[in-house]
Amino acid sequence: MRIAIVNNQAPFVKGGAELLAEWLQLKLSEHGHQAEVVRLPFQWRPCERIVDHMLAARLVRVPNADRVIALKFPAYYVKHDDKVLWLLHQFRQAYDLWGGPFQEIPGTPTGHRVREAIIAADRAYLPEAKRLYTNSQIVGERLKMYSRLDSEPLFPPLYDASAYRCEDYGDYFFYPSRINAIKRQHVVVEAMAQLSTPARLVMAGPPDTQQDLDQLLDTIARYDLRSSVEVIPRWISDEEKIDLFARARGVVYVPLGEDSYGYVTLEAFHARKPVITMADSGGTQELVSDGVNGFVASDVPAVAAAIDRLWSERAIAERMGAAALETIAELDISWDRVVRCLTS
Amino acid sequence: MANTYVPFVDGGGRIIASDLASALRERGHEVEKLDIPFSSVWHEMLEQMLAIRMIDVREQADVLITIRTPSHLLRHPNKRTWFIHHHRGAYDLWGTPYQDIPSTPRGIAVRDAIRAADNLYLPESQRIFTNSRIVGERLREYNDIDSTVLYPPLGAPARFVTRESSNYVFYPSRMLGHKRQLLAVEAAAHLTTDARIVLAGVPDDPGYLEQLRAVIAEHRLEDRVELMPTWIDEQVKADLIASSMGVLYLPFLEDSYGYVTLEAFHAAKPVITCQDSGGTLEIVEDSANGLVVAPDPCSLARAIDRLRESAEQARAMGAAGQRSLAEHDISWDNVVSSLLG
Repeated sequence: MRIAIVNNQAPFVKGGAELLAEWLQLKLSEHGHQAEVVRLPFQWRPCERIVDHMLAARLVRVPNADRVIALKFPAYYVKHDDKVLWLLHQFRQAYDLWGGPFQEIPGTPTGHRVREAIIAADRAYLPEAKRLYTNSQIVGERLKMYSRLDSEPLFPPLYDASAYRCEDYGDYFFYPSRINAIKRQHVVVEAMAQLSTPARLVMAGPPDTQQDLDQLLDTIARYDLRSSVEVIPRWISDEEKIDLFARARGVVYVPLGEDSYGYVTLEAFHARKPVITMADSGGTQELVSDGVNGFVASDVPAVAAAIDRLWSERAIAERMGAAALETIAELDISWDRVVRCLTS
Repeated sequence: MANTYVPFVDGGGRIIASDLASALRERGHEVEKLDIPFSSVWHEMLEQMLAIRMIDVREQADVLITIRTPSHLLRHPNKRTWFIHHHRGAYDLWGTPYQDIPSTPRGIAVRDAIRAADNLYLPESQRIFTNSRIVGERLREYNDIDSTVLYPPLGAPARFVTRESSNYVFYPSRMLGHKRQLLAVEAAAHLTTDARIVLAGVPDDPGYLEQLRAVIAEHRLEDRVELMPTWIDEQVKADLIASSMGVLYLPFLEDSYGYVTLEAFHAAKPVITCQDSGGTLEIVEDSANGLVVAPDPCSLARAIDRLRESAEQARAMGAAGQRSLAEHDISWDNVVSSLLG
């Protein structure tokens, strides 16, 4: 089948969705399809531009494709007789972010009209898709709530999960992620200050700003944790990362209100490691069940307690790690399933 | 850099665009390519043109370079256009069998809208270049727009080197009616020297390949003509050019000179082309850097024999071909400085 993966393009910016589109293209090709990524430029400021690009997406044609797989707003408006959606998200500023600090569309009469146009277009054109998949339950729930559409979650797998392995349940916990306020590394540092065991923490990832890094290092210094908390403030190679996963006792991932479960959770599970997350972290709980394959902590002391528990009882870490791998199998998070769903 | 393309089809426009992107990056520029899918089905064109006009990248880049039509409909305060062809069905092919828009009132309206859009939005570009003289002449004739010729160089010319000449001429090209491999095969029957002809390329039309094979069988040309009806690797092609006496490029009325011509000249080999081949005549000069012949088998055979009879003359023409590249300033340095200048 000739398959066009239709995605947005923000010139000079490459995000996670572009990576997912490339992976999907490669996997479809491995399965014998001819796949191309079609990228439609999108610009959302000022807000009137949003409507222009919705119209552009609607007017564009994708000739020669037997099937279109669309991923994002507004590229998913593209007109095609055989269209399947793998929805990464709607334009959240018009929905769940409207009325909050990330609304971005101004609350002016024009802004209201733009928002209404987005909602109306979603209701009119999303039902054209032969099948609707979302990358997470939460995106599916929003689609149901705001656009009254049923969908099925189709979790995005890692590109090459087979690279992840478990070598040991060592004496440290691992938190790989960009360093910024939303990822809340500082919360974990506060938890480290409350430990009753000598567990260590390794955090790796590039800071968004120098200020993000300085604040984190200050917090570590303030609690006098420099001997037990290590920060690697840069992109680490896949080899380094996989190695750090392989020997960790467990993984910590406590972002604030994320949409999807995050690749970190998936990577940890493939490395047979339990994940400590928080009740307000969002999508992580689509994978992490408290007491089964990790812990869902409600506050800082609960994060500390979870770290202490896994550090004291290695057998629990091993059991939860095995359950984590089990979770991936139960949910069938695999490219075979993704390709099957998106091509059937 | 903006371009349009037909998904799942490789076209020359994509090669120019990716070569240009590499050349810009090598010179320290940050490049983002906008590749907009485009269907050339006549009744779908206007709305797609509108889509392109709606897309706004004015804030994202310092300079916008547009390539294949109608990417020049994009707005930008600092727009440069390297125009490689019109939608020809609305221009010079209108009124010919290749007209791809019906002569109905609606079709005529579409044609006129395409022309109106070009007339309106091309002049927004601060600089307009074409890839050949003929395209520039059409811009002048149909749109009343002046432009400068900017010849597209090869992406990776280094592999095209020269070696001792063997006894064959080489014709690398997709095997298609208008590329006229048939003319080359028929010429083989008229050769008076021991010259041979090697043809390589994807046979896009299986019927045409059968026709070529039938002529070879009919005139018992198996020892004269070697057919390689398949996609050949760039290095294999370069090797075949390197040891050839010269290169054939015989299309019927093409706009551009064709990468084949450049490949031959980089390898210091003369090019044999036809009087009605079009763009090749912008750089191939008869008896100077190649041979320009009437499009009939006897004339072509005489030209091939001539290369075989006088190796010295063939070598001199090949060397002149290499010099033509510099004389026409066919280089990425020239392309980049012209587009950004």
